[in-house]
Amino acid sequence: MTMESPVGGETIDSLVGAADPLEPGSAVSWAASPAAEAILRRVLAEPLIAARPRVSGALVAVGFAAALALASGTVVAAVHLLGGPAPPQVTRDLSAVDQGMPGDLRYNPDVSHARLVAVAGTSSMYAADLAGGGYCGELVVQGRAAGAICVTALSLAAHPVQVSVPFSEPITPRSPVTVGGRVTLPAATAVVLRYADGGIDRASLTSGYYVIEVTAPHLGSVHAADFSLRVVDAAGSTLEELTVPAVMEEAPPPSNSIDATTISDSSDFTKVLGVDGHVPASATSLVLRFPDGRDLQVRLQPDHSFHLDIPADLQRAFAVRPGLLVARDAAGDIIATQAIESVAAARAAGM
Amino acid sequence: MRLTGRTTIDAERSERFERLYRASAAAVYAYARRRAAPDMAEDVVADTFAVAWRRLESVPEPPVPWLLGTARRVLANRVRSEQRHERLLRRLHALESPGSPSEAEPASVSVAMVLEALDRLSAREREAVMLVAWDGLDGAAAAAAAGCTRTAFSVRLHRARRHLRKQLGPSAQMTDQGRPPAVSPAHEGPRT
Repeated sequence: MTMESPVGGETIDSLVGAADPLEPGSAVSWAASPAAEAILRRVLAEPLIAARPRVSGALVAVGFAAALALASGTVVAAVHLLGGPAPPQVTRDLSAVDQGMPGDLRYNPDVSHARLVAVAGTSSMYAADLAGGGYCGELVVQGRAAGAICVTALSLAAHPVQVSVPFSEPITPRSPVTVGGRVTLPAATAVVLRYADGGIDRASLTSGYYVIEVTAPHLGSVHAADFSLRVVDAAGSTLEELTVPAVMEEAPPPSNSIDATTISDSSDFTKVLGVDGHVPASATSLVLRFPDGRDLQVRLQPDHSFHLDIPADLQRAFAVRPGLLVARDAAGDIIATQAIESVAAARAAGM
Repeated sequence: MRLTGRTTIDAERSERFERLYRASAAAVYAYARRRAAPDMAEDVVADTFAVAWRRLESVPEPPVPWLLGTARRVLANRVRSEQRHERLLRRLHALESPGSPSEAEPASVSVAMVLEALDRLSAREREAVMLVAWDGLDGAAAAAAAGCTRTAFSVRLHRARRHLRKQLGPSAQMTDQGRPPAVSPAHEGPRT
Protein backbone atom coordinates (compact mmCIF):
# COMPACT_ATOMS: atom_id res chain seq x y z
CA MET A 1 0.00 0.00 0.00
CA THR A 2 1.19 3.47 -0.81
CA MET A 3 1.11 5.52 2.35
CA GLU A 4 0.51 9.20 2.39
CA SER A 5 3.36 11.59 2.95
CA PRO A 6 3.26 13.39 6.30
CA VAL A 7 3.22 16.74 4.60
CA GLY A 8 0.16 15.89 2.52
CA GLY A 9 -1.72 14.53 5.52
CA GLU A 10 -0.91 17.53 7.65
CA THR A 11 -2.05 19.89 4.91
CA ILE A 12 -5.41 18.21 4.62
CA ASP A 13 -5.74 18.01 8.39
CA SER A 14 -5.00 21.72 8.65
CA LEU A 15 -7.67 22.52 6.09
CA VAL A 16 -10.18 20.36 7.94
CA GLY A 17 -9.07 21.77 11.27
CA ALA A 18 -9.66 25.27 9.97
CA ALA A 19 -13.26 24.30 9.28
CA ASP A 20 -13.86 23.21 12.88
CA PRO A 21 -17.26 24.73 13.73
CA LEU A 22 -16.61 24.73 17.46
CA GLU A 23 -15.68 28.06 18.99
CA PRO A 24 -12.43 27.92 20.98
CA GLY A 25 -13.04 27.47 24.67
CA SER A 26 -16.77 26.84 24.30
CA ALA A 27 -16.60 23.19 25.38
CA VAL A 28 -14.54 24.03 28.45
CA SER A 29 -17.02 26.77 29.31
CA TRP A 30 -19.89 24.36 28.86
CA ALA A 31 -18.24 21.81 31.16
CA ALA A 32 -18.31 24.42 33.92
CA SER A 33 -21.92 25.38 33.25
CA PRO A 34 -25.02 24.51 35.31
CA ALA A 35 -26.19 22.32 32.43
CA ALA A 36 -23.07 20.16 32.69
CA GLU A 37 -23.40 19.99 36.46
CA ALA A 38 -27.03 18.93 36.11
CA ILE A 39 -26.05 16.07 33.83
CA LEU A 40 -23.46 14.90 36.36
CA ARG A 41 -26.01 14.92 39.17
CA ARG A 42 -28.61 13.19 37.05
CA VAL A 43 -26.27 10.40 36.06
CA LEU A 44 -25.03 9.94 39.62
CA ALA A 45 -28.64 9.63 40.74
CA GLU A 46 -29.26 6.87 38.23
CA PRO A 47 -29.48 3.47 39.94
CA LEU A 48 -26.84 1.00 38.84
CA ILE A 49 -29.15 -0.76 36.50
CA ALA A 50 -29.12 -0.87 32.77
CA ALA A 51 -31.52 -0.54 29.93
CA ARG A 52 -32.60 -3.62 28.05
CA PRO A 53 -30.78 -4.34 24.81
CA ARG A 54 -31.60 -2.07 21.93
CA VAL A 55 -32.32 -3.63 18.63
CA SER A 56 -31.65 -0.90 16.19
CA GLY A 57 -31.26 2.81 16.18
CA ALA A 58 -34.13 4.76 17.59
CA LEU A 59 -36.19 1.59 17.63
CA VAL A 60 -35.53 0.83 21.20
CA ALA A 61 -37.09 -2.42 22.15
CA VAL A 62 -38.33 -4.68 19.45
CA GLY A 63 -37.65 -7.10 22.19
CA PHE A 64 -39.51 -9.90 23.87
CA ALA A 65 -38.64 -11.94 20.80
CA ALA A 66 -37.72 -15.40 21.88
CA ALA A 67 -39.08 -14.60 25.29
CA LEU A 68 -42.48 -15.70 24.14
CA ALA A 69 -41.06 -19.02 23.11
CA LEU A 70 -39.44 -19.33 26.52
CA ALA A 71 -42.43 -18.26 28.54
CA SER A 72 -43.82 -21.52 29.80
CA GLY A 73 -46.90 -20.42 31.67
CA THR A 74 -50.15 -19.16 30.33
CA VAL A 75 -52.31 -16.48 31.77
CA VAL A 76 -55.89 -17.41 32.38
CA ALA A 77 -58.20 -14.61 31.32
CA ALA A 78 -57.02 -11.04 31.10
CA VAL A 79 -59.02 -8.66 33.21
CA HIS A 80 -59.97 -6.06 30.64
CA LEU A 81 -60.19 -3.22 33.10
CA LEU A 82 -57.47 -0.65 32.75
CA GLY A 83 -55.70 -0.17 36.04
CA GLY A 84 -56.75 -3.63 37.22
CA PRO A 85 -54.16 -5.83 38.92
CA ALA A 86 -51.77 -7.99 36.93
CA PRO A 87 -52.44 -11.75 36.97
CA PRO A 88 -50.07 -14.03 38.92
CA GLN A 89 -48.09 -15.13 35.85
CA VAL A 90 -47.29 -11.52 35.00
CA THR A 91 -46.33 -10.57 38.55
CA ARG A 92 -44.07 -13.63 38.66
CA ASP A 93 -42.41 -12.57 35.40
CA LEU A 94 -42.01 -8.99 36.59
CA SER A 95 -40.49 -10.22 39.85
CA ALA A 96 -38.15 -12.51 37.93
CA VAL A 97 -36.42 -9.70 36.06
CA ASP A 98 -33.96 -9.40 38.94
CA GLN A 99 -33.52 -13.12 39.53
CA GLY A 100 -29.86 -14.04 39.62
CA MET A 101 -28.78 -10.41 39.29
CA PRO A 102 -26.42 -8.78 41.78
CA GLY A 103 -27.94 -6.00 43.88
CA ASP A 104 -26.29 -3.25 41.88
CA LEU A 105 -27.95 -4.37 38.67
CA ARG A 106 -31.48 -4.92 39.90
CA TYR A 107 -34.45 -2.98 38.54
CA ASN A 108 -36.63 -3.56 41.63
CA PRO A 109 -40.00 -2.94 39.91
CA ASP A 110 -42.99 -2.14 42.12
CA VAL A 111 -44.62 -5.47 41.39
CA SER A 112 -47.24 -5.08 44.09
CA HIS A 113 -48.75 -2.30 41.98
CA ALA A 114 -48.36 -3.98 38.59
CA ARG A 115 -51.47 -3.15 36.56
CA LEU A 116 -53.19 -3.45 33.21
CA VAL A 117 -52.22 -0.42 31.11
CA ALA A 118 -53.45 -1.19 27.56
CA VAL A 119 -55.68 -3.69 25.79
CA ALA A 120 -56.40 -4.63 22.16
CA GLY A 121 -58.36 -7.73 21.16
CA THR A 122 -56.71 -10.70 22.85
CA SER A 123 -53.57 -8.75 23.75
CA SER A 124 -52.92 -6.93 27.01
CA MET A 125 -50.04 -4.98 28.43
CA TYR A 126 -49.17 -4.80 32.12
CA ALA A 127 -46.66 -2.48 33.77
CA ALA A 128 -44.94 -1.93 37.10
CA ASP A 129 -43.16 1.32 37.92
CA LEU A 130 -39.48 1.68 38.73
CA ALA A 131 -38.32 4.00 41.46
CA GLY A 132 -37.28 7.31 39.91
CA GLY A 133 -39.23 6.70 36.70
CA GLY A 134 -39.13 4.00 34.10
CA TYR A 135 -41.10 0.79 34.17
CA CYS A 136 -41.08 -2.94 33.66
CA GLY A 137 -43.74 -4.17 31.26
CA GLU A 138 -45.07 -7.39 29.87
CA LEU A 139 -47.34 -8.13 26.96
CA VAL A 140 -49.80 -11.00 27.15
CA VAL A 141 -50.79 -12.25 23.71
CA GLN A 142 -53.58 -14.78 23.29
CA GLY A 143 -53.24 -15.75 26.92
CA ARG A 144 -49.48 -16.26 26.81
CA ALA A 145 -47.13 -14.00 28.72
CA ALA A 146 -44.35 -12.81 26.47
CA GLY A 147 -41.65 -12.10 29.04
CA ALA A 148 -40.95 -8.90 30.91
CA ILE A 149 -38.67 -6.08 29.84
CA CYS A 150 -37.57 -3.06 31.84
CA VAL A 151 -36.83 0.49 30.73
CA THR A 152 -35.08 2.92 33.05
CA ALA A 153 -35.98 6.59 33.39
CA LEU A 154 -32.78 7.54 31.62
CA SER A 155 -33.63 5.34 28.67
CA LEU A 156 -37.15 6.68 28.54
CA ALA A 157 -35.78 10.20 28.39
CA ALA A 158 -33.43 9.25 25.59
CA HIS A 159 -35.94 7.11 23.70
CA PRO A 160 -39.46 8.38 24.26
CA VAL A 161 -41.00 5.83 21.91
CA GLN A 162 -40.71 2.25 23.14
CA VAL A 163 -41.71 -0.59 20.83
CA SER A 164 -41.98 -4.30 21.54
CA VAL A 165 -43.02 -7.02 19.13
CA PRO A 166 -43.16 -10.41 20.80
CA PHE A 167 -43.31 -13.53 18.66
CA SER A 168 -43.06 -17.26 19.06
CA GLU A 169 -41.23 -19.57 16.74
CA PRO A 170 -41.75 -20.90 14.18
CA ILE A 171 -42.92 -17.75 12.49
CA THR A 172 -45.24 -18.25 9.54
CA PRO A 173 -46.88 -15.69 7.24
CA ARG A 174 -50.08 -16.12 9.27
CA SER A 175 -48.54 -15.87 12.73
CA PRO A 176 -50.33 -13.20 14.78
CA VAL A 177 -48.36 -10.02 15.47
CA THR A 178 -48.91 -7.66 18.38
CA VAL A 179 -47.08 -4.37 18.77
CA GLY A 180 -47.00 -2.74 22.17
CA GLY A 181 -45.02 -0.24 24.17
CA ARG A 182 -45.01 3.17 25.72
CA VAL A 183 -44.70 6.74 24.44
CA THR A 184 -43.58 9.60 26.67
CA LEU A 185 -43.81 12.46 24.17
CA PRO A 186 -46.03 15.02 25.95
CA ALA A 187 -48.42 15.79 23.08
CA ALA A 188 -48.78 12.24 21.81
CA THR A 189 -52.28 10.81 21.68
CA ALA A 190 -52.08 7.79 19.37
CA VAL A 191 -49.83 5.37 17.52
CA VAL A 192 -50.38 4.51 13.86
CA LEU A 193 -48.88 1.52 12.08
CA ARG A 194 -48.54 1.80 8.30
CA TYR A 195 -47.68 -1.41 6.51
CA ALA A 196 -45.84 -1.93 3.25
CA ASP A 197 -49.11 -3.02 1.62
CA GLY A 198 -50.61 0.39 2.41
CA GLY A 199 -52.78 -0.80 5.29
CA ILE A 200 -53.08 1.06 8.57
CA ASP A 201 -53.87 0.09 12.16
CA ARG A 202 -53.94 2.53 15.05
CA ALA A 203 -54.43 2.70 18.80
CA SER A 204 -55.00 5.51 21.24
CA LEU A 205 -52.54 5.91 24.08
CA THR A 206 -53.72 5.17 27.60
CA SER A 207 -51.37 6.89 30.04
CA GLY A 208 -48.76 6.63 27.31
CA TYR A 209 -49.12 2.88 26.76
CA TYR A 210 -50.47 1.20 23.64
CA VAL A 211 -51.16 -2.22 22.18
CA ILE A 212 -52.03 -2.90 18.54
CA GLU A 213 -52.90 -6.26 17.03
CA VAL A 214 -52.00 -6.29 13.35
CA THR A 215 -55.23 -7.04 11.53
CA ALA A 216 -55.44 -10.26 9.51
CA PRO A 217 -55.27 -8.77 5.99
CA HIS A 218 -51.88 -7.23 6.78
CA LEU A 219 -50.15 -10.12 8.54
CA GLY A 220 -48.46 -11.24 5.33
CA SER A 221 -47.07 -7.74 4.86
CA VAL A 222 -45.56 -7.37 8.34
CA HIS A 223 -43.93 -10.79 8.02
CA ALA A 224 -42.35 -9.81 4.71
CA ALA A 225 -41.43 -6.14 4.95
CA ASP A 226 -40.52 -3.44 7.44
CA PHE A 227 -43.37 -1.19 8.51
CA SER A 228 -43.60 2.26 10.05
CA LEU A 229 -44.81 3.30 13.48
CA ARG A 230 -45.95 6.92 13.74
CA VAL A 231 -46.69 8.73 16.96
CA VAL A 232 -49.27 11.45 16.37
CA ASP A 233 -50.86 14.27 18.35
CA ALA A 234 -54.53 15.16 18.62
CA ALA A 235 -54.40 16.99 15.29
CA GLY A 236 -52.94 13.96 13.56
CA SER A 237 -49.52 15.54 13.12
CA THR A 238 -46.55 13.18 13.26
CA LEU A 239 -44.38 13.66 16.33
CA GLU A 240 -42.05 10.72 15.76
CA GLU A 241 -41.75 7.98 13.19
CA LEU A 242 -39.82 4.72 13.48
CA THR A 243 -39.26 1.78 11.20
CA VAL A 244 -40.11 -1.60 12.68
CA PRO A 245 -38.25 -4.53 11.11
CA ALA A 246 -40.31 -7.25 9.44
CA VAL A 247 -41.29 -10.00 11.87
CA MET A 248 -39.42 -12.97 10.47
CA GLU A 249 -37.04 -15.70 11.53
CA GLU A 250 -33.55 -14.49 12.17
CA ALA A 251 -31.16 -15.18 9.33
CA PRO A 252 -28.60 -17.85 10.16
CA PRO A 253 -25.23 -16.41 11.15
CA PRO A 254 -22.75 -16.04 8.31
CA SER A 255 -20.63 -19.13 7.75
CA ASN A 256 -17.43 -17.21 8.43
CA SER A 257 -18.42 -16.26 11.97
CA ILE A 258 -18.47 -18.01 15.33
CA ASP A 259 -21.97 -18.97 16.41
CA ALA A 260 -21.73 -19.11 20.20
CA THR A 261 -24.21 -19.44 23.05
CA THR A 262 -23.37 -18.91 26.69
CA ILE A 263 -24.83 -21.27 29.29
CA SER A 264 -26.16 -19.76 32.52
CA ASP A 265 -28.88 -20.53 35.02
CA SER A 266 -31.11 -18.14 36.85
CA SER A 267 -29.47 -18.75 40.22
CA ASP A 268 -26.67 -16.34 39.38
CA PHE A 269 -26.48 -14.42 36.13
CA THR A 270 -23.02 -13.12 36.91
CA LYS A 271 -21.74 -16.61 36.05
CA VAL A 272 -21.13 -18.20 32.68
CA LEU A 273 -21.23 -21.95 33.21
CA GLY A 274 -20.21 -22.90 29.70
CA VAL A 275 -20.10 -21.97 26.05
CA ASP A 276 -21.13 -23.94 22.99
CA GLY A 277 -21.62 -23.33 19.30
CA HIS A 278 -19.98 -23.68 15.90
CA VAL A 279 -16.87 -22.26 14.25
CA PRO A 280 -16.22 -21.61 10.55
CA ALA A 281 -15.23 -24.73 8.62
CA SER A 282 -11.72 -23.39 8.06
CA ALA A 283 -11.05 -23.05 11.80
CA THR A 284 -8.57 -25.51 13.25
CA SER A 285 -8.28 -24.12 16.75
CA LEU A 286 -10.40 -22.15 19.17
CA VAL A 287 -9.35 -20.29 22.30
CA LEU A 288 -11.46 -18.61 24.96
CA ARG A 289 -9.63 -15.50 26.14
CA PHE A 290 -10.65 -14.34 29.61
CA PRO A 291 -10.84 -10.65 30.54
CA ASP A 292 -7.64 -11.00 32.58
CA GLY A 293 -5.80 -12.19 29.47
CA ARG A 294 -5.52 -15.89 30.23
CA ASP A 295 -6.41 -18.34 27.45
CA LEU A 296 -8.30 -21.62 27.60
CA GLN A 297 -8.11 -24.00 24.64
CA VAL A 298 -11.50 -25.20 23.39
CA ARG A 299 -11.74 -28.60 21.76
CA LEU A 300 -13.30 -28.57 18.27
CA GLN A 301 -15.42 -31.47 17.03
CA PRO A 302 -15.25 -32.83 13.46
CA ASP A 303 -18.57 -31.14 12.66
CA HIS A 304 -17.00 -27.80 13.72
CA SER A 305 -19.07 -27.63 16.88
CA PHE A 306 -17.66 -27.00 20.34
CA HIS A 307 -18.76 -27.24 23.93
CA LEU A 308 -16.79 -25.95 26.89
CA ASP A 309 -17.66 -26.35 30.56
CA ILE A 310 -15.98 -23.44 32.29
CA PRO A 311 -14.17 -24.44 35.49
CA ALA A 312 -16.06 -23.34 38.59
CA ASP A 313 -13.38 -20.93 39.73
CA LEU A 314 -13.56 -19.06 36.41
CA GLN A 315 -17.32 -18.87 35.96
CA ARG A 316 -17.52 -15.34 37.35
CA ALA A 317 -14.72 -14.09 35.13
CA PHE A 318 -17.26 -12.57 32.72
CA ALA A 319 -19.42 -10.94 35.38
CA VAL A 320 -18.40 -7.42 34.45
CA ARG A 321 -16.12 -7.56 31.44
CA PRO A 322 -16.42 -9.61 28.26
CA GLY A 323 -14.06 -12.32 27.10
CA LEU A 324 -13.36 -13.35 23.53
CA LEU A 325 -13.53 -16.55 21.53
CA VAL A 326 -10.74 -16.56 18.94
CA ALA A 327 -10.77 -19.01 16.02
CA ARG A 328 -7.64 -19.56 13.95
CA ASP A 329 -6.98 -21.43 10.74
CA ALA A 330 -4.19 -23.89 10.01
CA ALA A 331 -1.76 -21.05 9.31
CA GLY A 332 -2.44 -19.58 12.74
CA ASP A 333 -4.26 -16.56 11.39
CA ILE A 334 -7.31 -15.29 13.25
CA ILE A 335 -10.38 -15.89 11.09
CA ALA A 336 -13.18 -15.04 13.52
CA THR A 337 -13.82 -13.73 17.00
CA GLN A 338 -16.89 -13.58 19.20
CA ALA A 339 -17.36 -11.71 22.48
CA ILE A 340 -18.54 -13.70 25.48
CA GLU A 341 -20.21 -12.03 28.44
CA SER A 342 -22.51 -12.90 31.32
CA VAL A 343 -26.20 -12.02 31.35
CA ALA A 344 -25.42 -9.52 34.12
CA ALA A 345 -22.72 -7.87 32.02
CA ALA A 346 -25.12 -7.62 29.10
CA ARG A 347 -27.62 -5.84 31.33
CA ALA A 348 -24.94 -3.53 32.66
CA ALA A 349 -23.75 -2.67 29.18
CA GLY A 350 -27.09 -1.11 28.37
CA MET A 351 -26.26 -0.48 24.64
CA MET B 1 -14.33 -7.25 41.91
CA ARG B 2 -17.45 -6.72 44.01
CA LEU B 3 -20.95 -6.28 42.85
CA THR B 4 -22.56 -5.90 46.25
CA GLY B 5 -21.75 -4.10 49.46
CA ARG B 6 -23.47 -1.19 47.93
CA THR B 7 -22.86 1.72 50.27
CA THR B 8 -19.07 1.67 50.22
CA ILE B 9 -18.86 0.86 46.58
CA ASP B 10 -21.37 3.54 45.63
CA ALA B 11 -19.29 6.19 47.39
CA GLU B 12 -16.09 5.05 45.73
CA ARG B 13 -17.77 4.75 42.38
CA SER B 14 -19.35 8.17 42.68
CA GLU B 15 -16.04 9.81 43.48
CA ARG B 16 -14.26 8.04 40.67
CA PHE B 17 -17.04 8.85 38.26
CA GLU B 18 -17.11 12.51 39.23
CA ARG B 19 -13.37 12.76 38.63
CA LEU B 20 -13.84 11.13 35.25
CA TYR B 21 -16.70 13.46 34.36
CA ARG B 22 -14.92 16.64 35.38
CA ALA B 23 -11.80 15.64 33.47
CA SER B 24 -13.53 14.47 30.31
CA ALA B 25 -16.90 16.19 29.93
CA ALA B 26 -15.46 19.01 27.83
CA ALA B 27 -13.88 16.60 25.37
CA VAL B 28 -17.09 14.59 25.03
CA TYR B 29 -19.19 17.73 24.65
CA ALA B 30 -16.78 19.09 22.05
CA TYR B 31 -17.01 15.82 20.14
CA ALA B 32 -20.80 15.84 20.23
CA ARG B 33 -21.17 19.56 19.53
CA ARG B 34 -19.02 19.29 16.42
CA ARG B 35 -21.47 16.77 15.07
CA ALA B 36 -24.83 17.87 16.44
CA ALA B 37 -26.93 20.79 17.60
CA PRO B 38 -26.39 22.05 21.17
CA ASP B 39 -29.41 20.33 22.74
CA MET B 40 -28.57 17.01 21.14
CA ALA B 41 -24.94 17.41 22.14
CA GLU B 42 -25.98 17.67 25.79
CA ASP B 43 -28.15 14.58 25.40
CA VAL B 44 -25.20 12.72 23.91
CA VAL B 45 -23.01 13.76 26.86
CA ALA B 46 -25.69 12.55 29.28
CA ASP B 47 -26.14 9.22 27.53
CA THR B 48 -22.40 8.70 27.15
CA PHE B 49 -21.66 9.27 30.79
CA ALA B 50 -24.67 7.19 31.80
CA VAL B 51 -23.01 4.30 30.01
CA ALA B 52 -19.70 5.16 31.68
CA TRP B 53 -21.45 5.18 35.05
CA ARG B 54 -22.86 1.72 34.48
CA ARG B 55 -19.61 0.39 33.04
CA LEU B 56 -17.12 2.26 35.16
CA GLU B 57 -15.03 -0.85 35.69
CA SER B 58 -14.60 -1.13 31.94
CA VAL B 59 -13.50 2.45 31.30
CA PRO B 60 -9.80 2.28 30.40
CA GLU B 61 -6.97 4.75 30.87
CA PRO B 62 -6.84 7.12 29.15
CA PRO B 63 -10.63 7.31 29.11
CA VAL B 64 -11.26 9.86 26.37
CA PRO B 65 -10.97 7.51 23.36
CA TRP B 66 -13.37 5.08 25.04
CA LEU B 67 -15.77 7.90 25.87
CA LEU B 68 -15.65 9.27 22.34
CA GLY B 69 -16.26 5.79 20.97
CA THR B 70 -19.32 5.53 23.20
CA ALA B 71 -20.44 9.01 22.19
CA ARG B 72 -20.07 7.99 18.56
CA ARG B 73 -22.49 5.10 19.04
CA VAL B 74 -24.93 7.22 21.04
CA LEU B 75 -24.86 9.90 18.39
CA ALA B 76 -25.27 7.36 15.59
CA ASN B 77 -28.45 6.11 17.21
CA ARG B 78 -29.80 9.61 17.44
CA VAL B 79 -29.02 10.89 13.98
CA ARG B 80 -29.46 7.74 11.94
CA SER B 81 -32.73 8.90 10.51
CA GLU B 82 -31.53 12.32 9.56
CA GLN B 83 -30.59 13.22 6.05
CA ARG B 84 -27.03 14.07 5.14
CA HIS B 85 -27.93 17.49 3.80
CA GLU B 86 -29.57 18.35 7.10
CA ARG B 87 -26.30 17.66 8.88
CA LEU B 88 -24.51 19.86 6.41
CA LEU B 89 -27.01 22.66 6.89
CA ARG B 90 -26.50 22.43 10.64
CA ARG B 91 -22.77 22.80 10.26
CA LEU B 92 -23.13 25.69 7.86
CA HIS B 93 -25.61 27.31 10.25
CA ALA B 94 -23.07 26.95 13.03
CA LEU B 95 -20.54 28.72 10.87
CA GLU B 96 -22.88 31.64 10.38
CA SER B 97 -23.32 32.22 14.10
CA PRO B 98 -21.61 35.28 15.64
CA GLY B 99 -17.97 34.76 16.42
CA SER B 100 -17.62 31.68 14.29
CA PRO B 101 -14.52 31.25 12.14
CA SER B 102 -16.45 32.06 8.99
CA GLU B 103 -17.33 35.50 10.31
CA ALA B 104 -13.99 36.18 11.89
CA GLU B 105 -12.08 35.40 8.73
CA PRO B 106 -12.74 36.37 5.15
CA ALA B 107 -12.11 32.86 3.86
CA SER B 108 -15.52 31.37 4.65
CA VAL B 109 -15.90 30.03 1.14
CA SER B 110 -12.92 27.77 1.72
CA VAL B 111 -14.41 26.58 4.97
CA ALA B 112 -17.67 25.82 3.25
CA MET B 113 -15.79 23.89 0.59
CA VAL B 114 -14.07 21.82 3.23
CA LEU B 115 -17.37 21.09 4.97
CA GLU B 116 -19.00 20.12 1.72
CA ALA B 117 -16.06 17.90 0.89
CA LEU B 118 -16.31 16.31 4.31
CA ASP B 119 -19.98 15.67 3.80
CA ARG B 120 -19.29 13.83 0.58
CA LEU B 121 -16.98 11.36 2.33
CA SER B 122 -18.30 8.07 3.61
CA ALA B 123 -19.32 8.20 7.26
CA ARG B 124 -16.29 6.21 8.35
CA GLU B 125 -13.82 8.30 6.39
CA ARG B 126 -15.40 11.52 7.61
CA GLU B 127 -15.24 10.34 11.19
CA ALA B 128 -11.58 9.33 10.80
CA VAL B 129 -10.42 12.71 9.59
CA MET B 130 -12.60 14.58 12.09
CA LEU B 131 -11.25 12.58 15.02
CA VAL B 132 -7.75 13.63 14.03
CA ALA B 133 -8.30 17.16 12.75
CA TRP B 134 -11.10 18.31 15.08
CA ASP B 135 -10.89 16.15 18.19
CA GLY B 136 -7.11 16.12 18.17
CA LEU B 137 -6.63 12.39 18.74
CA ASP B 138 -3.52 10.55 17.63
CA GLY B 139 -3.73 7.36 15.60
CA ALA B 140 -4.10 4.90 18.47
CA ALA B 141 -6.63 6.98 20.38
CA ALA B 142 -8.62 7.76 17.25
CA ALA B 143 -8.71 4.07 16.33
CA ALA B 144 -10.05 3.25 19.79
CA ALA B 145 -12.70 5.94 19.46
CA ALA B 146 -13.65 4.72 15.99
CA GLY B 147 -13.89 1.15 17.24
CA CYS B 148 -11.39 -0.35 14.84
CA THR B 149 -7.79 -1.48 14.71
CA ARG B 150 -5.04 1.03 14.26
CA THR B 151 -4.23 -0.43 10.86
CA ALA B 152 -7.84 -0.16 9.74
CA PHE B 153 -7.97 3.40 11.01
CA SER B 154 -4.80 4.31 9.11
CA VAL B 155 -6.38 3.00 5.92
CA ARG B 156 -9.56 4.98 6.53
CA LEU B 157 -7.62 8.14 7.27
CA HIS B 158 -5.45 7.66 4.22
CA ARG B 159 -8.50 7.24 2.01
CA ALA B 160 -10.24 10.19 3.61
CA ARG B 161 -7.28 12.45 3.03
CA ARG B 162 -6.92 11.22 -0.53
CA HIS B 163 -10.59 11.86 -1.27
CA LEU B 164 -10.45 15.28 0.35
CA ARG B 165 -7.36 16.22 -1.60
CA LYS B 166 -9.09 15.15 -4.78
CA GLN B 167 -12.18 17.21 -3.98
CA LEU B 168 -10.33 20.25 -2.67
CA GLY B 169 -7.80 20.16 -5.46
CA PRO B 170 -7.01 23.89 -5.83
CA SER B 171 -7.08 24.56 -2.08
CA ALA B 172 -4.87 21.62 -1.26
CA GLN B 173 -2.45 22.53 -4.01
CA MET B 174 -2.35 26.08 -2.81
CA THR B 175 -1.26 25.09 0.66
CA ASP B 176 1.06 22.42 -0.70
CA GLN B 177 2.97 25.26 -2.35
CA GLY B 178 3.69 26.79 1.00
CA ARG B 179 0.77 29.06 1.70
CA PRO B 180 -0.82 28.61 5.08
CA PRO B 181 -4.42 27.48 5.42
CA ALA B 182 -6.94 30.23 4.86
CA VAL B 183 -8.13 30.24 8.47
CA SER B 184 -6.47 29.16 11.66
CA PRO B 185 -7.55 25.87 13.14
CA ALA B 186 -9.80 26.26 16.15
CA HIS B 187 -9.18 23.11 18.10
CA GLU B 188 -10.62 22.04 21.36
CA GLY B 189 -10.45 18.82 23.30
CA PRO B 190 -7.59 16.45 23.94
CA ARG B 191 -4.30 16.66 22.14
CA THR B 192 -2.59 13.41 22.75
